[in-house]
Amino acid sequence: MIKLKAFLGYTAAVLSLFVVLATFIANDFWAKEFVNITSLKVSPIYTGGEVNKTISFKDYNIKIHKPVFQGLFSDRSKGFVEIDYAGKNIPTVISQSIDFDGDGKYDFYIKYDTKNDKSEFKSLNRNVVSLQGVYKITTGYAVRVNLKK
Amino acid sequence: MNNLESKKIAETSTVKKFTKSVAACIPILLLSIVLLSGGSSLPKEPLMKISFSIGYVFINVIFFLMVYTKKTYKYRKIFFVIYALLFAVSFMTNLIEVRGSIFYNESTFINGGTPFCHMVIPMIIIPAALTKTIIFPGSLLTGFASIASMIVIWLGASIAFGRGWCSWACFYGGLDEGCSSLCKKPKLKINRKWTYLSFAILISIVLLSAATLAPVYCDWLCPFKAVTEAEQITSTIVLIKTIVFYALFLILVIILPILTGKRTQCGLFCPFGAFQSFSNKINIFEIRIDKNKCLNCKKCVRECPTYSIDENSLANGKALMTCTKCGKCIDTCPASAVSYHIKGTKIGVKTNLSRYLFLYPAYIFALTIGGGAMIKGVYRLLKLITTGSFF
Repeated sequence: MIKLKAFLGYTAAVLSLFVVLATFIANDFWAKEFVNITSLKVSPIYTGGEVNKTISFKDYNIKIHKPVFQGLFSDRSKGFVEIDYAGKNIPTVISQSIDFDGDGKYDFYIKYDTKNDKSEFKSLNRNVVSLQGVYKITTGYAVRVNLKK
Repeated sequence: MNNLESKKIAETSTVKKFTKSVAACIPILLLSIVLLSGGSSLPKEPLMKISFSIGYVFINVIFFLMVYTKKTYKYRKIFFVIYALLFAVSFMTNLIEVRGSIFYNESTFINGGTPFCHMVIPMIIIPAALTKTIIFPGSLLTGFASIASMIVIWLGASIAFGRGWCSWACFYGGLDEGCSSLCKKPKLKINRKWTYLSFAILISIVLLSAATLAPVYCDWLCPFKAVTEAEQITSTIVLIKTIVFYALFLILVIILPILTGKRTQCGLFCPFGAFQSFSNKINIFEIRIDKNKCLNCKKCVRECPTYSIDENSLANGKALMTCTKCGKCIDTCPASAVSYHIKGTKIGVKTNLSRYLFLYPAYIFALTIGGGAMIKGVYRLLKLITTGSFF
């Protein structure tokens, strides 16, 4: 039993060297497998969540994300919705009324001057609380609007 | 035996020892070139070529000295401190090159451009299990230090050498260790009961992160924000956070280690270190004290940088679960009673073999995770010297 234990111990010690080599040499493979097996995603609190609707214009498009109310066990009462303006020729002044929930009624109005970083915001829906901010992203601008349930 | 004969014997044994050490270094010599180059061709740019050569030689000389002198801690420490310093240089300059600055804001979060750090791991577990999402503004698979890639690296390290991560892989630990080395004689003693603080912080941040769905430690407490990236100061809250980061860095990473000679951030505060302690329970390597050889001088108790040996553990003949396998107790023990040990084997038997079996995976891990950062750090410094700019 003592000899078996020692044999297993030395075997595990040698294997740890291979674990290290496999960790680095096959890192991309293991990373992809990890994502596939766990189906994990980055929290919508950071990504803005899934894109619900895309409105295309000549030089740019508007991506309306699904509202995010993420909580640990169930949805929270406060959340946000993200609207992305993506493309090469986004207007210098964004001025738009947005219907993010698809009920045919506008939910808020946003005016944003990309040059001066100044914005105007008007809530048109009682569940739309305020403008959280307009952020520069790699593809253009992201508008985040605070919501309540 | 005359003087000449004994001199000749000594010379022969030195040559034998040297040859043995060189032979033991061959795997590292070969693997380091493959792992540092990422398996592709060697760099062609002259400055990068020089940086690569410096890094390669340094890494291999350190390992040779570890093997030849049998001093693990002394040379690991040199590697670890230089790694941490060059990591800070390479990380910050890389951020400036990729992102334009070391400062981050909401835009960085939305873009998913934050490099993932192992410190976040304990905080993402509960939200990942319950919401299937990771509460960190990084990228899952793409870009520099992606989330999945870092998690795989952490898993590999945990399986291979447990909390050895904190002394062989962590990019921050070297700063703490470097400052603690500046202390020749402790001017301040901290009660070892404070080691429970890191576990208390761990529990608190895990629960708070789950409740808020945000990595609370990174947002509020990480002292290493001072040497990596910082939030753009746009409000009073951000200003308070920044003050907290720099104050904690100053106190835990610089002042207290210099006064106590201990790795206070790693041993008393770091929640990841506390979390990683549990991996020592399943890891095959441990530090054991041969009670037959032990002189009970308690030098190991006094010298341990992370408070991982106390009177009780000494009596039990093994280090506590918080042990980072740094090797200081082994180097300092006057009776050679402390050694790396493989679970299941006899204590005090084949200690040299156990040491090698630990050293290879630990050092290969260290050189792979640290080597790249070191080479890039040297490259940036050489660029600064030769052109006056990091870029």
